[in-house]
Amino acid sequence: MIIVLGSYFVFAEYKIIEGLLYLIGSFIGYRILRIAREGYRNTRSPTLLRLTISFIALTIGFFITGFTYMFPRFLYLTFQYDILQLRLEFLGISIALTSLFLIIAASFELFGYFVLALGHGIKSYRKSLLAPAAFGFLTTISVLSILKSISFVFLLYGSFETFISYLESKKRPILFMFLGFSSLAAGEFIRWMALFYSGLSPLMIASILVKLIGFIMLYTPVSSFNTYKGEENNVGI
Amino acid sequence: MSVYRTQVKIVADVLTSINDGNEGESGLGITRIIQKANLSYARATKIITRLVDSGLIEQVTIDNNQRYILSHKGIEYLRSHSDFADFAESFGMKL
Repeated sequence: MIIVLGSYFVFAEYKIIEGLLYLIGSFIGYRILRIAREGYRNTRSPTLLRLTISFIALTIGFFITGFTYMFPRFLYLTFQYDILQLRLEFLGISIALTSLFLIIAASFELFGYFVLALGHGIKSYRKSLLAPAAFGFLTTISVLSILKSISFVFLLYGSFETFISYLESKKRPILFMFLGFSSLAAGEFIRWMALFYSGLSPLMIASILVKLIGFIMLYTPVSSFNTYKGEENNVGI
Repeated sequence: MSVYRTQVKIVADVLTSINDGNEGESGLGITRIIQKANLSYARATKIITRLVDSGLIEQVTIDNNQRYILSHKGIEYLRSHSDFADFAESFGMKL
Protein backbone atom coordinates (compact mmCIF):
# COMPACT_ATOMS: atom_id res chain seq x y z
CA MET A 1 0.00 0.00 0.00
CA ILE A 2 2.78 2.39 0.99
CA ILE A 3 4.66 1.51 -2.19
CA VAL A 4 1.54 2.10 -4.30
CA LEU A 5 0.82 5.45 -2.60
CA GLY A 6 4.49 6.39 -2.76
CA SER A 7 4.72 5.60 -6.44
CA TYR A 8 1.49 7.59 -7.02
CA PHE A 9 2.99 10.70 -5.46
CA VAL A 10 6.31 10.21 -7.28
CA PHE A 11 4.27 9.80 -10.45
CA ALA A 12 2.39 13.02 -9.61
CA GLU A 13 5.73 14.81 -9.17
CA TYR A 14 6.78 13.41 -12.53
CA LYS A 15 3.63 14.94 -14.03
CA ILE A 16 4.59 18.32 -12.60
CA ILE A 17 8.09 18.04 -14.09
CA GLU A 18 6.60 17.01 -17.43
CA GLY A 19 4.11 19.88 -17.18
CA LEU A 20 6.96 22.29 -16.56
CA LEU A 21 8.78 20.86 -19.56
CA TYR A 22 5.75 21.46 -21.77
CA LEU A 23 5.49 25.05 -20.48
CA ILE A 24 9.15 25.53 -21.49
CA GLY A 25 8.20 24.02 -24.85
CA SER A 26 5.35 26.49 -25.22
CA PHE A 27 7.76 29.36 -24.47
CA ILE A 28 10.15 28.13 -27.20
CA GLY A 29 7.21 27.67 -29.56
CA TYR A 30 6.10 31.23 -28.80
CA ARG A 31 9.60 32.55 -29.58
CA ILE A 32 9.64 30.71 -32.91
CA LEU A 33 6.14 31.85 -33.85
CA ARG A 34 7.02 35.49 -33.11
CA ILE A 35 10.03 35.34 -35.43
CA ALA A 36 8.04 33.51 -38.11
CA ARG A 37 5.18 36.04 -37.80
CA GLU A 38 7.60 38.97 -38.14
CA GLY A 39 9.13 37.23 -41.14
CA TYR A 40 5.74 36.77 -42.75
CA ARG A 41 4.85 40.39 -42.02
CA ASN A 42 8.03 41.57 -43.77
CA THR A 43 8.33 39.17 -46.66
CA ARG A 44 4.80 37.70 -47.19
CA SER A 45 6.39 34.31 -47.62
CA PRO A 46 3.88 31.38 -47.53
CA THR A 47 6.59 29.25 -45.88
CA LEU A 48 6.75 31.64 -42.94
CA LEU A 49 2.95 31.77 -42.79
CA ARG A 50 2.87 27.97 -42.49
CA LEU A 51 5.57 28.08 -39.79
CA THR A 52 3.58 30.75 -37.92
CA ILE A 53 0.33 28.76 -38.03
CA SER A 54 2.16 25.57 -37.08
CA PHE A 55 3.85 27.10 -34.05
CA ILE A 56 0.69 28.92 -32.92
CA ALA A 57 -0.98 25.51 -32.72
CA LEU A 58 2.05 23.84 -31.10
CA THR A 59 2.44 26.66 -28.54
CA ILE A 60 -1.24 26.41 -27.55
CA GLY A 61 -1.02 22.60 -27.46
CA PHE A 62 2.13 22.58 -25.32
CA PHE A 63 0.69 25.23 -23.00
CA ILE A 64 -2.58 23.36 -22.44
CA THR A 65 -0.67 20.11 -21.82
CA GLY A 66 1.68 21.79 -19.34
CA PHE A 67 -1.21 23.56 -17.62
CA THR A 68 -3.24 20.33 -17.43
CA TYR A 69 -0.35 18.41 -15.88
CA MET A 70 0.40 21.10 -13.31
CA PHE A 71 -2.92 22.73 -12.44
CA PRO A 72 -4.87 19.74 -10.95
CA ARG A 73 -2.01 19.24 -8.50
CA PHE A 74 -2.47 22.77 -7.13
CA LEU A 75 -6.22 22.27 -6.91
CA TYR A 76 -5.66 19.02 -5.03
CA LEU A 77 -3.44 20.80 -2.51
CA THR A 78 -6.08 23.53 -2.08
CA PHE A 79 -8.86 21.05 -1.37
CA GLN A 80 -6.89 18.58 0.71
CA TYR A 81 -8.65 19.42 4.00
CA ASP A 82 -12.18 19.07 2.61
CA ILE A 83 -14.45 16.14 3.28
CA LEU A 84 -13.88 12.89 1.42
CA GLN A 85 -17.09 13.17 -0.64
CA LEU A 86 -16.08 16.55 -2.04
CA ARG A 87 -12.61 15.26 -2.83
CA LEU A 88 -14.03 12.25 -4.69
CA GLU A 89 -16.39 14.49 -6.68
CA PHE A 90 -13.53 16.80 -7.40
CA LEU A 91 -11.41 13.83 -8.46
CA GLY A 92 -14.08 12.74 -10.96
CA ILE A 93 -14.44 16.22 -12.43
CA SER A 94 -10.68 16.62 -12.45
CA ILE A 95 -10.14 13.38 -14.41
CA ALA A 96 -12.85 14.32 -16.91
CA LEU A 97 -11.45 17.83 -17.38
CA THR A 98 -7.89 16.52 -17.61
CA SER A 99 -8.90 14.09 -20.37
CA LEU A 100 -10.77 16.84 -22.22
CA PHE A 101 -7.88 19.30 -21.96
CA LEU A 102 -5.35 16.67 -23.06
CA ILE A 103 -7.48 15.81 -26.11
CA ILE A 104 -7.76 19.51 -27.00
CA ALA A 105 -3.99 19.93 -26.52
CA ALA A 106 -3.25 16.84 -28.63
CA SER A 107 -5.54 18.22 -31.37
CA PHE A 108 -3.60 21.47 -31.43
CA GLU A 109 -0.29 19.59 -31.50
CA LEU A 110 -1.56 17.35 -34.29
CA PHE A 111 -2.61 20.37 -36.34
CA GLY A 112 0.74 22.08 -35.68
CA TYR A 113 2.79 19.06 -36.74
CA PHE A 114 0.52 18.55 -39.74
CA VAL A 115 1.11 22.11 -41.01
CA LEU A 116 4.84 21.72 -40.37
CA ALA A 117 4.92 18.42 -42.32
CA LEU A 118 2.77 20.03 -45.02
CA GLY A 119 5.49 22.63 -45.60
CA HIS A 120 7.98 19.83 -46.22
CA GLY A 121 5.38 17.86 -48.20
CA ILE A 122 4.80 20.72 -50.64
CA LYS A 123 8.55 21.09 -51.08
CA SER A 124 9.03 17.37 -51.77
CA TYR A 125 6.04 17.22 -54.09
CA ARG A 126 7.46 19.96 -56.25
CA LYS A 127 10.91 18.45 -56.23
CA SER A 128 10.32 14.79 -56.76
CA LEU A 129 6.56 14.28 -57.09
CA LEU A 130 6.63 12.14 -53.96
CA ALA A 131 3.47 12.30 -51.90
CA PRO A 132 3.83 12.87 -48.13
CA ALA A 133 4.30 9.75 -46.05
CA ALA A 134 1.18 7.73 -45.42
CA PHE A 135 0.12 7.21 -41.86
CA GLY A 136 -1.41 3.79 -41.63
CA PHE A 137 -0.13 2.16 -38.51
CA LEU A 138 -2.62 3.29 -35.93
CA THR A 139 -3.12 0.50 -33.49
CA THR A 140 -4.46 2.35 -30.50
CA ILE A 141 -8.12 3.01 -29.94
CA SER A 142 -8.51 5.99 -27.63
CA VAL A 143 -8.96 9.45 -29.14
CA LEU A 144 -5.91 10.77 -27.34
CA SER A 145 -3.76 7.88 -28.52
CA ILE A 146 -4.95 8.28 -32.10
CA LEU A 147 -4.19 12.01 -32.06
CA LYS A 148 -0.78 11.40 -30.48
CA SER A 149 -0.02 8.62 -32.99
CA ILE A 150 -0.77 10.83 -35.98
CA SER A 151 1.23 13.69 -34.40
CA PHE A 152 4.11 11.28 -33.94
CA VAL A 153 4.03 10.30 -37.64
CA PHE A 154 3.99 13.95 -38.73
CA LEU A 155 6.83 14.70 -36.32
CA LEU A 156 8.87 11.80 -37.72
CA TYR A 157 8.14 12.93 -41.26
CA GLY A 158 9.20 16.52 -40.43
CA SER A 159 12.41 15.22 -38.81
CA PHE A 160 13.18 13.06 -41.82
CA GLU A 161 12.67 15.92 -44.29
CA THR A 162 14.78 18.23 -42.12
CA PHE A 163 17.52 15.61 -42.14
CA ILE A 164 17.32 15.40 -45.96
CA SER A 165 17.69 19.20 -46.08
CA TYR A 166 20.70 18.94 -43.79
CA LEU A 167 22.32 16.38 -46.09
CA GLU A 168 21.82 18.76 -49.02
CA SER A 169 23.17 21.91 -47.37
CA LYS A 170 25.28 20.65 -44.42
CA LYS A 171 24.29 23.70 -42.36
CA ARG A 172 24.50 23.40 -38.60
CA PRO A 173 21.15 25.10 -37.68
CA ILE A 174 19.30 22.51 -39.79
CA LEU A 175 21.11 19.74 -37.92
CA PHE A 176 19.96 21.25 -34.59
CA MET A 177 16.36 21.39 -35.84
CA PHE A 178 16.57 17.77 -36.98
CA LEU A 179 18.01 16.68 -33.62
CA GLY A 180 15.32 18.73 -31.82
CA PHE A 181 12.37 17.25 -33.70
CA SER A 182 13.74 13.71 -33.64
CA SER A 183 14.44 13.98 -29.88
CA LEU A 184 10.84 15.08 -29.30
CA ALA A 185 9.65 12.11 -31.35
CA ALA A 186 11.99 9.75 -29.48
CA GLY A 187 10.82 11.22 -26.14
CA GLU A 188 7.20 10.58 -27.08
CA PHE A 189 8.01 7.04 -28.17
CA ILE A 190 9.86 6.29 -24.92
CA ARG A 191 6.89 7.69 -23.01
CA TRP A 192 4.58 5.21 -24.73
CA MET A 193 6.88 2.38 -23.73
CA ALA A 194 6.89 3.73 -20.15
CA LEU A 195 3.10 3.29 -19.99
CA PHE A 196 3.67 -0.46 -19.64
CA TYR A 197 5.20 0.19 -16.23
CA SER A 198 3.31 1.45 -13.19
CA GLY A 199 4.62 4.42 -11.26
CA LEU A 200 7.83 6.19 -12.10
CA SER A 201 10.05 4.11 -14.33
CA PRO A 202 13.53 4.91 -15.68
CA LEU A 203 11.85 5.14 -19.08
CA MET A 204 9.75 8.09 -17.90
CA ILE A 205 12.84 9.90 -16.66
CA ALA A 206 14.55 9.08 -19.97
CA SER A 207 11.49 10.43 -21.81
CA ILE A 208 11.70 13.74 -19.90
CA LEU A 209 15.44 14.06 -20.48
CA VAL A 210 15.17 13.29 -24.20
CA LYS A 211 12.32 15.80 -24.61
CA LEU A 212 14.29 18.41 -22.68
CA ILE A 213 17.26 17.85 -25.01
CA GLY A 214 14.82 18.17 -27.93
CA PHE A 215 13.51 21.55 -26.74
CA ILE A 216 17.08 22.82 -26.13
CA MET A 217 18.09 21.70 -29.64
CA LEU A 218 15.06 23.47 -31.14
CA TYR A 219 15.84 26.64 -29.24
CA THR A 220 19.56 26.72 -30.15
CA PRO A 221 19.29 27.94 -33.77
CA VAL A 222 16.29 30.16 -32.95
CA SER A 223 18.09 31.94 -30.11
CA SER A 224 20.43 33.61 -32.62
CA PHE A 225 17.50 35.29 -34.39
CA ASN A 226 16.17 38.54 -33.04
CA THR A 227 12.57 39.48 -33.65
CA TYR A 228 13.23 41.93 -36.42
CA LYS A 229 10.79 44.83 -36.48
CA GLY A 230 10.81 45.96 -40.07
CA GLU A 231 8.18 47.65 -42.15
CA GLU A 232 5.15 45.66 -43.16
CA ASN A 233 5.35 44.92 -46.87
CA ASN A 234 2.71 43.93 -49.34
CA VAL A 235 4.31 43.01 -52.62
CA GLY A 236 1.15 41.41 -53.92
CA ILE A 237 2.36 37.82 -53.75
CA MET B 1 16.50 19.45 -63.44
CA SER B 2 15.21 23.01 -63.10
CA VAL B 3 15.04 24.48 -59.60
CA TYR B 4 11.61 25.69 -58.55
CA ARG B 5 11.56 29.38 -57.58
CA THR B 6 8.88 30.68 -55.28
CA GLN B 7 7.29 34.10 -55.85
CA VAL B 8 9.19 35.44 -52.85
CA LYS B 9 12.46 34.18 -54.34
CA ILE B 10 11.66 35.77 -57.73
CA VAL B 11 10.91 39.12 -56.05
CA ALA B 12 14.19 38.84 -54.10
CA ASP B 13 16.06 38.01 -57.33
CA VAL B 14 14.60 41.09 -59.06
CA LEU B 15 15.50 43.32 -56.12
CA THR B 16 19.00 41.82 -55.88
CA SER B 17 19.63 42.33 -59.59
CA ILE B 18 18.53 45.98 -59.33
CA ASN B 19 20.69 46.45 -56.23
CA ASP B 20 23.76 44.78 -57.76
CA GLY B 21 23.39 46.33 -61.19
CA ASN B 22 22.72 49.86 -60.04
CA GLU B 23 25.99 51.38 -61.24
CA GLY B 24 26.51 55.05 -60.45
CA GLU B 25 22.97 55.51 -59.10
CA SER B 26 21.63 55.51 -62.66
CA GLY B 27 19.33 52.58 -62.08
CA LEU B 28 18.74 49.47 -64.12
CA GLY B 29 16.65 49.08 -67.28
CA ILE B 30 14.09 46.34 -67.74
CA THR B 31 16.22 44.42 -70.24
CA ARG B 32 19.06 44.06 -67.74
CA ILE B 33 16.59 43.07 -65.01
CA ILE B 34 15.13 40.36 -67.26
CA GLN B 35 18.61 39.01 -67.98
CA LYS B 36 19.84 39.11 -64.41
CA ALA B 37 16.68 37.74 -62.78
CA ASN B 38 16.07 35.22 -65.57
CA LEU B 39 12.45 36.19 -66.28
CA SER B 40 10.23 36.59 -69.29
CA TYR B 41 9.33 40.15 -70.34
CA ALA B 42 5.64 39.72 -69.43
CA ARG B 43 6.41 38.35 -65.99
CA ALA B 44 9.13 40.92 -65.31
CA THR B 45 6.86 43.88 -66.15
CA LYS B 46 4.10 42.46 -63.95
CA ILE B 47 6.45 42.03 -60.98
CA ILE B 48 8.13 45.41 -61.50
CA THR B 49 4.74 47.16 -61.57
CA ARG B 50 3.87 45.48 -58.24
CA LEU B 51 7.21 46.42 -56.73
CA VAL B 52 6.83 50.05 -57.80
CA ASP B 53 3.27 50.14 -56.40
CA SER B 54 4.44 48.71 -53.09
CA GLY B 55 7.33 51.21 -52.91
CA LEU B 56 10.15 48.67 -52.95
CA ILE B 57 11.63 50.13 -56.13
CA GLU B 58 11.41 53.55 -57.73
CA GLN B 59 11.01 54.35 -61.40
CA VAL B 60 13.24 57.10 -62.79
CA THR B 61 13.51 58.45 -66.32
CA ILE B 62 17.02 59.08 -67.63
CA ASP B 63 17.51 60.16 -71.27
CA ASN B 64 13.97 59.05 -72.09
CA ASN B 65 14.73 55.58 -70.69
CA GLN B 66 12.72 54.01 -67.84
CA ARG B 67 15.10 52.82 -65.17
CA TYR B 68 14.56 51.33 -61.74
CA ILE B 69 16.39 51.91 -58.48
CA LEU B 70 15.98 50.25 -55.12
CA SER B 71 14.17 52.37 -52.51
CA HIS B 72 15.05 52.42 -48.81
CA LYS B 73 12.10 50.10 -48.24
CA GLY B 74 13.47 47.75 -50.90
CA ILE B 75 16.87 47.63 -49.20
CA GLU B 76 15.14 46.81 -45.90
CA TYR B 77 13.11 44.10 -47.64
CA LEU B 78 16.23 42.50 -49.08
CA ARG B 79 17.90 42.54 -45.67
CA SER B 80 14.93 40.95 -43.93
CA HIS B 81 14.56 38.43 -46.77
CA SER B 82 18.14 37.32 -46.22
CA ASP B 83 17.61 36.99 -42.44
CA PHE B 84 14.35 35.09 -42.70
CA ALA B 85 15.63 32.87 -45.50
CA ASP B 86 18.22 31.63 -42.98
CA PHE B 87 15.46 31.17 -40.39
CA ALA B 88 13.28 29.12 -42.78
CA GLU B 89 16.32 27.16 -43.89
CA SER B 90 16.99 26.08 -40.32
CA PHE B 91 13.66 24.20 -40.58
CA GLY B 92 14.82 22.69 -43.86
CA MET B 93 12.45 24.92 -45.82
CA LYS B 94 12.91 27.54 -48.51
CA LEU B 95 11.41 31.02 -48.34
